[in-house]
Amino acid sequence: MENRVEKLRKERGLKQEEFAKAIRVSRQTVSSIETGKYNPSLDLAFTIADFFGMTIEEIFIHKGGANNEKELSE
Amino acid sequence: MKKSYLNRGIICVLAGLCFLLAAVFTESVFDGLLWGVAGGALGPGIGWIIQHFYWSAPKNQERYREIQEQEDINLHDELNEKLRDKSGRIAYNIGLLIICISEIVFSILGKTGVITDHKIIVLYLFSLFVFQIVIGKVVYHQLRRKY
Repeated sequence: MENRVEKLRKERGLKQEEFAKAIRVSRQTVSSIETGKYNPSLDLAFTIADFFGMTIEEIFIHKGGANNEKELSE
Repeated sequence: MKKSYLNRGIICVLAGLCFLLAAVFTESVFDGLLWGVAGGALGPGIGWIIQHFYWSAPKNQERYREIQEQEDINLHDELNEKLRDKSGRIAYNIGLLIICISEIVFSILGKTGVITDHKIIVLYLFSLFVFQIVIGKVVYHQLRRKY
């Protein structure tokens, strides 16, 4: 799963520590999410989406999603 | 700082002193155990009392609040929780492996005459091994029922 968390955070001029504190997770978690090493829970994904004022789909891109839709339409 | 730290510290120091007095003024085969328990209670107890007074000082309160907040975040951080669960599972599996290896080692040591009464150790280790597996399954099924 890819995400735009790093880009959105930087656009808002936030450091990882500041962003982590705002969404109440550790800085390591933010770093792992940004590098794609860790996929957040649905709960945390909603928290991140709420923080940026966007929907989850606008931030997190599920790679298998397009294929799944294709399979369903076939 | 929470007063519970001070209360906990005082209780531990009092308990530690009781064990210390018992160790000093009694002669029994449990002397070593009493000294150990006394040290185990006095050490953390004194530590908590010192911590209480240090962090209760007005100049340290802001820093204490920040540390507490960070600790709370780290405690409930989902990646940390996931890693703790994973490390617990790995440690559990390694523990089972160590018990198995220990059983074999003690059996060999007993059969070769290096140690005597090896049977009780092997039996204990086997019981521990079975208990670990059974309790693992029981806890899993208990948790499964909740979801």
